[in-house]
Amino acid sequence: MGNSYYQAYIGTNSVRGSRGIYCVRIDAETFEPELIAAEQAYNSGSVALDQKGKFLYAASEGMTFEGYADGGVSAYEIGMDGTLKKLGGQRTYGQRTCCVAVDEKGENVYACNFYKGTFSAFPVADKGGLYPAKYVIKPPAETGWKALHCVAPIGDGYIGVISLAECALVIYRAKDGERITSYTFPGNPFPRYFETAGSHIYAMMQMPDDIYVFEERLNRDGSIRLVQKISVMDQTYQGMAATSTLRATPDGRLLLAANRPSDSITVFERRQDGRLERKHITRLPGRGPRDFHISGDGRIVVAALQHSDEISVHEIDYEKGSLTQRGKKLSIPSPAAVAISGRIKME
Amino acid sequence: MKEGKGDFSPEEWRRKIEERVLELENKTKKLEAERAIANLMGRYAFYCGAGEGERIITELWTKSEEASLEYGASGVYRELWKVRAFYLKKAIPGVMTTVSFSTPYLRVSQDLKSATGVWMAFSTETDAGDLGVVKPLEADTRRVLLSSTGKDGKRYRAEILLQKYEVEFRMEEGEWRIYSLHVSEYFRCPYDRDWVRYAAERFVTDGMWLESLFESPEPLPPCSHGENLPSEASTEHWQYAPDRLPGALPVVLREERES
Repeated sequence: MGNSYYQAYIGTNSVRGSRGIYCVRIDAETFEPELIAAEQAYNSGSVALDQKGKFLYAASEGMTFEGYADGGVSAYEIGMDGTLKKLGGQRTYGQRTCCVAVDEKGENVYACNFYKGTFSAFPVADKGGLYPAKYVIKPPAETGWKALHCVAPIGDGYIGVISLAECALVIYRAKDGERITSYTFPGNPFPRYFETAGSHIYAMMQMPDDIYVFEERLNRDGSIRLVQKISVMDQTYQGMAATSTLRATPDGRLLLAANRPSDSITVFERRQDGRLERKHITRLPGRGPRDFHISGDGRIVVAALQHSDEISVHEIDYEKGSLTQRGKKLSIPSPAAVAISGRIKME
Repeated sequence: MKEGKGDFSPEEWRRKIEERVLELENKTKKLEAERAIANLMGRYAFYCGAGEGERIITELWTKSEEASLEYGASGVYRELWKVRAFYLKKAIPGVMTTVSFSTPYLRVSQDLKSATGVWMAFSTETDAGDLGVVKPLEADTRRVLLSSTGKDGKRYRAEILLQKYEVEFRMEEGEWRIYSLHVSEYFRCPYDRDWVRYAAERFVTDGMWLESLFESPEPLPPCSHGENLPSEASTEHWQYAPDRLPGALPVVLREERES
């Protein structure tokens, strides 16, 4: 082990012998991943670190939480050795909590539910634990199928959700959950995920594999403006689309998007106007990339290969816009979510 | 002048008799319906005890694709293939499920085409170390679901349950059939433990337990995309916890109180 490393947390589905959330240390020189601990947890389908890397928040992606027909979000304190200590959890007032996110200041945690289509905001206590939800936002009453797929902060003061109920990106004011604006995706696609970079929002469909690029003008006039639509896979691809995750590098230069049937991550370059240019499609060394995450220094990507029960580590080449596999793969049952720290120096 | 018995004319008397016969016929039909429904659920209990899940599906459940089944906080599983998965299990030595139903509370519709029934059920569940259709690995966290350890060190479950069955029936081709079923658990605990101590402990594995209920050795249809997920969120759910007020009145009784 070299003198610096990355700390990764892998949320798993509770199948095939999974032990919960796996704590993995990745050597920053050799890129070799090493399993250091596992914290018992149920269906941690989404995990998020706060900016300082002191706390981890995990969704409980099931139909029940602490005896209620509910989803939940649990808070963990990260010890000096990278292991997790559970601080408690809160109900999310929906079921199958599928996405959890922390705002930049680490003051609020947001969680959304696949069933019931609700999302909730939880104030963070001084020591990283969560207070009960300060608001729970329900989908409009007139929508039939009430479901959400993704929640995340947008800039300073807004929250976005990917709504399956409305087939839309819907944006709310963070402080009180008031609805600000929305964009309904035409042609009734199956929306999946969104990411922000600079003053742009990137919303990805699971099927078909389109990314909608929006200019964000929320602080100016409360609107978003569509500027581009581009597919994750290129025109030569004839297979199925079932995208999963979309993430921008910390410097905003690249945007990465995973497609599960092709076991690949597409690397896009972000132009100054926010538009995307597809640079390279990297085939991953396993099946079903359900999630991936980029280290805080933007150097490596850890991919959760759910269907082959393993994770892989990749180095980002910013000049070529591509990924190169580094180190050995690490076996973990049904990995579904990844959160990775910045580079940490050995004490 | 009236010629019939008492103060009624013969016509009035005949009408009264006919009304009374009709009333008794309706009562008889309703009682027959109630008896048939009680017998249906009696068969359900015995088929459970005999591991005859296939017969529960083919003889007792509706043929309609609108069939729905909800177990605890599982969410609503709609469509027959999802309901079938709940009942069709691999026969494994040592596995036994018993259900003992209470006297029902039944309400049959005026047109005798639908009915609602509520039962309390005292039940037991036993297995010899297997969960669902898959034998768990040593590292499988689902092994914590296995609540007892035998002299040979083998882990198994021997649990007692108190449940509430809320059932909607439909008359189909002259027979009563289960159209929707919602089973709630007041509590579940190992036979040698008590449900107060076990209440919080079981929260850890509740979700895994619920998912294992809907696993089946039958292949999933292509529309499932490899998973048997609920069709809708839970309608309602209450289970015992030391800090929780009672709240498990059946829907049918709540509706009557509100009306």
